[in-house]
Amino acid sequence: MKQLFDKLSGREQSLFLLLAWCGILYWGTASLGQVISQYQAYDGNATAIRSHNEILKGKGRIEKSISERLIDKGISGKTLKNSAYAVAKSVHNDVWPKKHRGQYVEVVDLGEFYEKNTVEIEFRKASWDHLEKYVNTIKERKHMFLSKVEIEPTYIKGGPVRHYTGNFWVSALWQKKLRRR
Amino acid sequence: MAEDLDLAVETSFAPQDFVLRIPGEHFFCECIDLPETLDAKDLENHVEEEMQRLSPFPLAHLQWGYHASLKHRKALVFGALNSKLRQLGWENLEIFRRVFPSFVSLLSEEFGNRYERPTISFIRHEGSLTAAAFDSDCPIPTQIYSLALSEEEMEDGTFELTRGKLLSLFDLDGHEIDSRIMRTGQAIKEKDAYRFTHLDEDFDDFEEEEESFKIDAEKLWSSDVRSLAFKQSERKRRKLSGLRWSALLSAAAFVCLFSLLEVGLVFLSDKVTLVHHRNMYGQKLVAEVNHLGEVLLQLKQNDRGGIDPIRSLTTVMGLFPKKKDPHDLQNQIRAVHLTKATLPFRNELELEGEADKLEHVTLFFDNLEASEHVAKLGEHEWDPSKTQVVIKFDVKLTLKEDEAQPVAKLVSPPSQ
Repeated sequence: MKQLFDKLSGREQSLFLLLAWCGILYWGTASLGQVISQYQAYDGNATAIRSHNEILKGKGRIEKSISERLIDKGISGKTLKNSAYAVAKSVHNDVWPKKHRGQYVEVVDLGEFYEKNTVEIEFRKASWDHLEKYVNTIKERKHMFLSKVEIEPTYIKGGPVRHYTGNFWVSALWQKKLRRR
Repeated sequence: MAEDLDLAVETSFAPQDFVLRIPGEHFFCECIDLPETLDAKDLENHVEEEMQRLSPFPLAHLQWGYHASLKHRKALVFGALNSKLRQLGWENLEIFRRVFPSFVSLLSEEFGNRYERPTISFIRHEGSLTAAAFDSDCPIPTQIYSLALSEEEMEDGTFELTRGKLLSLFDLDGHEIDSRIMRTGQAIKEKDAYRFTHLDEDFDDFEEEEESFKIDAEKLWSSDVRSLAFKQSERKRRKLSGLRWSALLSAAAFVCLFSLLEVGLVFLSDKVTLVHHRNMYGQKLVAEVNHLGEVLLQLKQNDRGGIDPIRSLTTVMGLFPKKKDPHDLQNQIRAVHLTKATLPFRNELELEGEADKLEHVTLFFDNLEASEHVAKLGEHEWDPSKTQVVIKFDVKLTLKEDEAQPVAKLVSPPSQ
């Protein structure tokens, strides 16, 4: 290699070295940048996994606490849908499911044993009493609970409340797989 | 003669790698004393002046060099006529790596310091015999004479005649004579020095190396008989060439390093992909656990009755400031109106409302802060626009738990 290199004139050697070093610096900078970003990505993911593991340690305890409160299998999405709507209808006539009647159950998978079903019921032009009655009725129902409530009053111009629009998210747990106690 | 050069490799001769040693009989030599006050930086100029004084010819007509020791305050100067060297066949000396007189190996400090008493030492280089006189413990020879061997001596392999002639040039009373006659071997370039080998004449057939001496490459530049200007430019050229070669080697090293880095990157990126997938899967599991946690929280809140919008809103609306009813000044009405209330958890509220005056809004916020029913007042702000008729606001708050509310007890699960 030295013989080949020595065949070039001084100027040619200098030019060759300049080009080579520019290429090497560019390549080196890119490679080092990649290494750093890959390492940072690795480190970030590893840190996230460690924090995940810490959180997941508590999963068994939470599931056990839930199972202590859920005596039987709970109620399915279909049963929830029908019950929540029926109760709402019994309280106030102007009641709507948020989406199409057959599709307004939101299902959240809670892992191996549970799923949480939620239906959204909307009261339109309801009175305060309607809202209070619905809340109290849901409280009395086994397995069903309110997971979120939104109330928007509509006022007479410059005056008191005319009526309310109330959105109730009614939820229930369903034990899809029996947990060993 | 130039055509009798002892070539180590006959097939590929590269003069730029070859150390030329010109037979010593073509050089005149003088040993000079150096002044006590002379510094290393003035050495070359002083030696040049002395050479000019000693030489019968102008320096431009000479190929000359020197070997000095500031410690011993002595220098050996030697020179040969250009024209004579050209006649002998050495036209272009610039093609060689180094050009020395044949007795250059005698100038090594290691060789010069070997004698405890003044001694005359002999060395033979091809067809030339050199005799050098050394004082005790001084590496600079005080006298050097060289003569060419005769044709008979060259054929017979003897040189007693020439040896005798050389001895006659010395004061033999003051010197011992080293009986060994060494023959020059190879001159090999090593890292920062040149190694000169001496072979014992008696072991001619076996080419057994008797001894070798190293001389520093930088120091040998002064002994190189080529012109000063050439030596300066050549040293500069070689230095630059060395730097360029080092730069090339460094570049090659970095290429290897970055190639390894690229290989490592491949493995690292595989690992990163794996870890990323695990992270994504973990996020899914964590989302499940978080949902479970939320559900558990809601179930625990259900023990106290769950989300109670009626109780919560009744409590908050009791803190609305009041103003006089414009239609009936005897009555007071609420100065703040609720437009939307969201209850994501028991005791947590996110309110949106409006008022016709900013002071009503700020009074409402003050009431919330001061209220014994409010556990925590979160973000609260109003719309700063001054062109609107109403002032809009939103606020997040957490109410205190109603301790009077009975807590539902967990029912024991049926035995299975």
